[in-house]
Amino acid sequence: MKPLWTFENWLSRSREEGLSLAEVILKKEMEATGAKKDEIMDGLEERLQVMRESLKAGLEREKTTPGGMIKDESKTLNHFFSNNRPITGSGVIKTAIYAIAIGQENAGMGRIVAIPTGGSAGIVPGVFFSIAEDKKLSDDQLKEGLLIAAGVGMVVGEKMGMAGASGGCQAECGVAAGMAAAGALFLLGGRGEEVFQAFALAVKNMLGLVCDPVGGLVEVPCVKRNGFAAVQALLAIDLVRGGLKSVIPPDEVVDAMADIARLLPSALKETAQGGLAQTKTGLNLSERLQ
Amino acid sequence: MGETVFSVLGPIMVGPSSSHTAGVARLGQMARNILGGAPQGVEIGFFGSFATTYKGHGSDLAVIGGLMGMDSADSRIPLALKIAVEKGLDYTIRTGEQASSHPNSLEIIAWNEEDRIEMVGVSRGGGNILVEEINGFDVRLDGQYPSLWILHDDRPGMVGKIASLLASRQINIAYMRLERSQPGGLASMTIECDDQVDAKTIREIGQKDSVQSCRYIPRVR
Ligand code: SF4
Repeated sequence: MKPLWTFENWLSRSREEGLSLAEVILKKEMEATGAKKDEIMDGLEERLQVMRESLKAGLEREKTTPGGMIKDESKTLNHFFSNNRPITGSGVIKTAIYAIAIGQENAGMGRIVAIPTGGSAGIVPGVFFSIAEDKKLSDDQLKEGLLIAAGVGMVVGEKMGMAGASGGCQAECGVAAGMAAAGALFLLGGRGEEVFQAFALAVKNMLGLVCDPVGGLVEVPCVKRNGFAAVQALLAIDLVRGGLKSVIPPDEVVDAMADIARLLPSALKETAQGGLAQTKTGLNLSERLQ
Repeated sequence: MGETVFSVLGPIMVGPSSSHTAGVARLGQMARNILGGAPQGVEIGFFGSFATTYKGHGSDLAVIGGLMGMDSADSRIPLALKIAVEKGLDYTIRTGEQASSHPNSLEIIAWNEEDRIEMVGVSRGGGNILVEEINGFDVRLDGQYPSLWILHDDRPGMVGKIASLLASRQINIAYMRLERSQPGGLASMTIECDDQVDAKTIREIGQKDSVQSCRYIPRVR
């Protein structure tokens, strides 16, 4: 049997072959799919462009979504914070607004990259684009960050499905936060083990997050949650940069998440049978939809 | 399981839901491909979780878009119902009891001057689909391979004949499935291929003894 793809294997392959973590994923993908390097790079380029377009469209969006619960959130926020200082910090609020903008685009039937899913599509690009602007990162660098994010998703995918219906929202927004944290720390010069530490810290704090969307639609709490999850990723990056480490190693954090995915009742896995979906307001809203 | 770079970073799709929007657009495209061209009229049945949430997920727009030939990343999908009216595509949408054991299933009846088909399909999550039934025959097509759907008399040697014709054209068979109405009656054969099948080969299969029809169903995106 092929050994599981884990953070530990990823790291040892990088050490043994003298490749960066991003190069390991590139090589692994070429081996697994037979694709050439150029084809993979073109695929990453295409995704980067779609992400950029969805961010732009989301920041301009004013049209109410099909479910009627989401409208012009990022525009409203941008308007306020062009004249007011955020309590959190300008980088933090920008990241949140970017992630929410793409979340709105997804809810409003815009074109997005599902990374790893449509509901969580704003988190990785929100973090990446916000950091890229501040640090003047090139698209070639962002593509390396995307390879790291993909590698993280591949590690998680070995042990559990990345969908609210199979693992709750920890498996969508939680994983996306971990992908964003690891990818962005790599972009900022993080190397080796610390890249996976960023994943571990971000995900640990989202373990057990349930999927309880109102009316079963990808609107509430999904869109705003993209903003929160993106900010978790930022904090994980800074905590690792500042020298903190997850006591539970990254691979075991994935084990824990997969374990929780099994233990979560189906009422909290996208069925709209529990949580926010079953609140008085949630039920009223979903009735109005039918 | 067994994720790749682009299964994690993708698909590129029109939101909001890979199962209720992207997968449904793919099912619409499958029905169009099975019909073999643009439909003039369609009847859609949404079942299971589709029945209660299809509007909020834009599944109606996605299925009609797919039937008009739009792929799951086509930014015209939000306008699909409007475009259908402009094009004179006649559609009705209903909801109802399960057509399949799967929670996200739908039925599509589509017709044009040449033909009429009935398809039952499910959306399995992450944009993955499965067509389970065509015109009452059990099939299993996931839209990832160029496929052939062949109706033929249930007689010995049919599989060999068709497989060797494909082999002679260097077309490799990935998966194959047989199903018959009754022994000696009409049988259905679906073949998922690794390679595209050219028009000449499709015609030749269709003209073989005991073959009633052969349709080519291209892969969908
Ligand atoms: S709450 Fe559920 S539907 Fe919404 S983003 Fe999370 S996993 Fe997806």
